Amino acid sequence: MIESLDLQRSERRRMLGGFSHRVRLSQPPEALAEAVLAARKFRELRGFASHSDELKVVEINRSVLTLDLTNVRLVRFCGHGPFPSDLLELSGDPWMSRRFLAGGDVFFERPVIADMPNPEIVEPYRRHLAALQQSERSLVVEKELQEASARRELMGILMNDDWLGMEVLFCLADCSEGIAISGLADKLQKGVDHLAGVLAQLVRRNAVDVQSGIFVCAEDGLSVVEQTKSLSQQESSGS
Amino acid sequence: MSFTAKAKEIMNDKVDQLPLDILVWGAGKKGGPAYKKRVELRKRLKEHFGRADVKFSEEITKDPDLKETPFASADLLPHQRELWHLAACDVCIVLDASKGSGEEIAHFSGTLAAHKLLVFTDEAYKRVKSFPASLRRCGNQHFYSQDEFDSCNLIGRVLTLVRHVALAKLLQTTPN
Repeated sequence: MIESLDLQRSERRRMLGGFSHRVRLSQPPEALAEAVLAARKFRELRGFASHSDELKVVEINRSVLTLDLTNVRLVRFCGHGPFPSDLLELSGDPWMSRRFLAGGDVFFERPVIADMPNPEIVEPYRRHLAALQQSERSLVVEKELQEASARRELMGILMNDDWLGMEVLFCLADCSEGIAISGLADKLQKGVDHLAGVLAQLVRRNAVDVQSGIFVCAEDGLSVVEQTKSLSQQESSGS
Repeated sequence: MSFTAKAKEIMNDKVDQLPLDILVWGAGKKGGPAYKKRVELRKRLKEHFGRADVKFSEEITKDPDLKETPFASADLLPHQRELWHLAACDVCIVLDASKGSGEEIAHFSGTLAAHKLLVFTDEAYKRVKSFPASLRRCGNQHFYSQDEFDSCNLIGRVLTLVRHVALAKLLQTTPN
């Protein structure tokens, strides 16, 4: 039933801070029980040696079974192929070590404290690496937070005041050469003061550009207009 | 084509009828008014967003149909299961009125799914420095007054913000 092995640190598992092991099955499992059985058999038959209770199934997705290796201390692969590149990547993790054994078997293990090398040698490197990883991750998380927040804010500007922001964008999209705020106020029959706040927000969110008092729809704004037109037209033609 | 009243109507309808997966985190059954508010919020979200699936994480975890999946697997720790819930939802409303929800915020605000959290905190805690600064910096956190909590205003604000999320999803999934 087992077709191939694919050891990798998948994106999802990385989110969980662990390591996963994916087992591709030749046939889709009809039920989870079958897949779990396959995993257990795999362990028995292929020498997947670990602290037995810690082998966990985390995902069954059609023909791929993902196992949680986060708490597995020792894993042994009985194979004679080339050293898996994914494993090499894992071995770069300061918490992992690897060694080759005679006959092509590969072991890697998560060291316990007693197994750790001299901390005086390892610590500066590990702290440096951990700091780099942490800052890199923080930057990604922060970037996503800012983008999502900006997107939600833009949506709020478009929808608030009975979709005034969207109306402004549509109007600007119609005036390819741009328009002054007074002209926009006339077109929309709104007060200049009323529009000034919305325009400022749209400019801040890069949906509108302004030059010498002339407002034009920016690329982001045009994209919103096109998508909204498309949605409205779909609905109109459907009804 | 201008943005007419008809277009507004269509967009309003599309936003409110968009299938959304919404999580509501907050106090548990023993949480008194905070739990009641959470239940009320779920009810109002379901009423407003007719095609949304609005869930509590504890219900997902107990769902027998999901017990063989990571969403409810006994093989995973609670925070691991909840990360799956968060990864699968469109938005997660967190009523930050219990110790548990505070810990969830602290834990998940460092994950790549942090942008899905919309945290609502009592304004009495506005200047508490120990609260994860990243949330304050990036606009996920919203403060409410006791009056807003007692009235329907807090729920109204949540509905408005979820509509923003819905519009963002709608536009993101619509080709130009």
